[in-house]
Amino acid sequence: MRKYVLIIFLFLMACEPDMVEEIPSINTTEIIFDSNEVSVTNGQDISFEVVSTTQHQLIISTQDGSVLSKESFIPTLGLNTRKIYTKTLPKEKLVLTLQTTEEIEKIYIIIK
Amino acid sequence: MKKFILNLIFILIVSFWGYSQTGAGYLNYRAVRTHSGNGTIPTEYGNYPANSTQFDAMFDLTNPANTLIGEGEVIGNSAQGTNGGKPPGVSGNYFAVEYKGWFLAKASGSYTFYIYSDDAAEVWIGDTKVAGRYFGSGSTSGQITLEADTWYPLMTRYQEFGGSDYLIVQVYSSMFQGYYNLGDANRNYPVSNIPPVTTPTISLHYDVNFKFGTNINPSTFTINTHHRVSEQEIAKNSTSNSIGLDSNGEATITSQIDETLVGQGKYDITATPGNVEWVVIYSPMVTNKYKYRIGLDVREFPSGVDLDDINNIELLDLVDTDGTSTAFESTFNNSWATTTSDQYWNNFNFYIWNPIPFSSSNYSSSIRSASGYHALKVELNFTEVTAYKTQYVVFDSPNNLQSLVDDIITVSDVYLGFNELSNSGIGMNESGNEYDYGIQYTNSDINRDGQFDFQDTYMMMDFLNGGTLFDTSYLAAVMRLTKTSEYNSISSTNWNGYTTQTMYPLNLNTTDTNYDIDVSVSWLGDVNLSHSPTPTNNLSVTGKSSVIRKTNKDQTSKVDGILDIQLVNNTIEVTLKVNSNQEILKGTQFRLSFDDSILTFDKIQTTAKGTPFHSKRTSYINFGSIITNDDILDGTTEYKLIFNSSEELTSILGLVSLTKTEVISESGEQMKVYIK
Repeated sequence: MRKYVLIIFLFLMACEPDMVEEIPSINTTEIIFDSNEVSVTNGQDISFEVVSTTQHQLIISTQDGSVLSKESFIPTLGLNTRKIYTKTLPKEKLVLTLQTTEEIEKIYIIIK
Repeated sequence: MKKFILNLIFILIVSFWGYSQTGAGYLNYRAVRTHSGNGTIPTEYGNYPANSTQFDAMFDLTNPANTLIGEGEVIGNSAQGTNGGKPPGVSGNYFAVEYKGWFLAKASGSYTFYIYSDDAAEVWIGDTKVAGRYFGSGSTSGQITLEADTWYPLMTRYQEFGGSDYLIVQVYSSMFQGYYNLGDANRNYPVSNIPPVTTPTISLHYDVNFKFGTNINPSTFTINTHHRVSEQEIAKNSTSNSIGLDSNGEATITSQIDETLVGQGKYDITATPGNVEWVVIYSPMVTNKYKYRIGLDVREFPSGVDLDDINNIELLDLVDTDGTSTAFESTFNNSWATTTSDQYWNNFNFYIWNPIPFSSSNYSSSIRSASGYHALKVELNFTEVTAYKTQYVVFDSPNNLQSLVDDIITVSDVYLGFNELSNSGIGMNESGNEYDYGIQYTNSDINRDGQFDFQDTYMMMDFLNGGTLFDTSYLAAVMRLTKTSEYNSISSTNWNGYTTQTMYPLNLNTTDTNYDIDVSVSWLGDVNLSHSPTPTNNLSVTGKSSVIRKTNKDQTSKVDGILDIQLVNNTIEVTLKVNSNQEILKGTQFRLSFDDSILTFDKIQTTAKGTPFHSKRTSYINFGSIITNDDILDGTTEYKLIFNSSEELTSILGLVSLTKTEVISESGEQMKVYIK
């Protein structure tokens, strides 16, 4: 009997908690112009990267090119984040453009 | 106590069964002990009834000589029914039995009813006595022509004074050959004791088709059905839930219709043979046609009912009139409402081409011929005419009414209205050479005074400027529903009288089962018909021009605009520069939407010529300018709008957006503006 108790004791002592490896969090900011089409909601942050600090414009237009709204700003180099407000926009597929005098990036946005 | 309650329930159930009616094959019966049960002859009838009136008297339970033996239902074609005449409880002498129900004529043609009875007996189909005999044992027969697939009220009765007693009723028709018992369904003579149609029912299917203009999305509208409560009030039907129109403007509203029949305050009068001369028909005046004066005793009229309330009068087989007579393609007004009535008689005039056929009537026993008149011994029956409630299909007010109205009524409507007036269209001569359809004048009469003049264009201008002279705050102020066939025939001379409304009368008729109505939806203020249907006819429009000025978004145009939006000291400055680029412009209109949870509108500045305007709505600003003289909007016109923010702003993208643009050419055409 004593032998069994000893075996059980040794068995229990042999158990150790599993080691959980912590995965370091990665910055998952999505660059909006990396997609072809995204849905956006009112007040949503949109991120993009720029390579110059000249004046940029974000422009929302209809698919036939008529401008609905725009914003001019001086960005910082690299990643920039700005808000988009959608309450005034028609609930349809529109075009978001980031442009300078030298380059243009476009994406379709669907207003929710 | 519990036993008592159980017994009571049992008795109630049995009682209920006793009065229930099975239907096919069954007839209801009523049996009465007559002659005081001992052969005493009362004053109202003899050993045998001498006629139908005395037969009636045998079933009159107010007469102490008569007592009820029993009533209920029996199988029609049985010894208890009309193949024997002995329902439960009937035996011995001195009784009378009456059977009632409906007889189905399965084919059109003549039917012969045979009676074999001991003693007297009768057969009635509806109000017609087909056969009758008024003595001891024997038989008789009579014929009647009936329509196929029709249930007719049936009544047959007999009585027994003494000796043998029986009743057998048989039917013959050439359509089915042979003599068979009444109620023998296998031989095509079925009966039933349940009314084949207890209440008027209809298989109703109701479609409404609303015709909108091309720039309106019908599926944004929902409708309900209401009924008239009073002259000033309607209420939604209890069965009505909002139904959306489809993309064609169509909806089936069958489920919304209230099929309840209600009295209309009008009555049909019918007469049945009786004991009192309640009707007198005076000898006619003979002038081209026969003009009879017919008096109905006022004592027969229900309280509060007089001749004005009568819909139809049917007196036996002599008179049947709804107030008009047609003979030899002439229509005569019987005008009973205008005929003098006194305290004794409600008199009406009855015109007919041929004299009333008193001598050939089937009711000769109810007609007494006298000098200068005939008297009818009849009872008058009053049945109130029923119909569906007056009902309307009603549009629900859309959530976006304000922006809808702003879409419909724009600077191009105002410019066209001004042009029509200034080109001599003023003064109701409709010769301004600008309008193509009568409905355009209807849409231009903003103040609804039946005139299209500068008061109307002034109100339209006030509307562009955000004024309230033209109240567009409720849908019925701008929506107009017109039967499409009428809409297409509105001309320059008959354009008045088409009021705005969101309710359209359905005119339900109990004889109809399928409804399909086309209704055109137009809008007060929609002068250029940009959002109203284009009529198929442009009737009698003087000074018609060849072009209807509708929105033409595909119109190529050199006009462009440059939009700039800047954040300055936490205010937003919106600048719009419109370049005419050599186009001759007479008007512009834009809509700038703003996020009203963050921004408040401060002011607008402009370099526009002519008459600048703007109107502030909850979440957008309409602005522009209009030229109503020979000037033009040339070069560049600039509009600057300022908004204040309620919070510190770092981004402004989408806080304001230019959602509507419109410029109009000298000819009034709408042109596209390309915004950069």
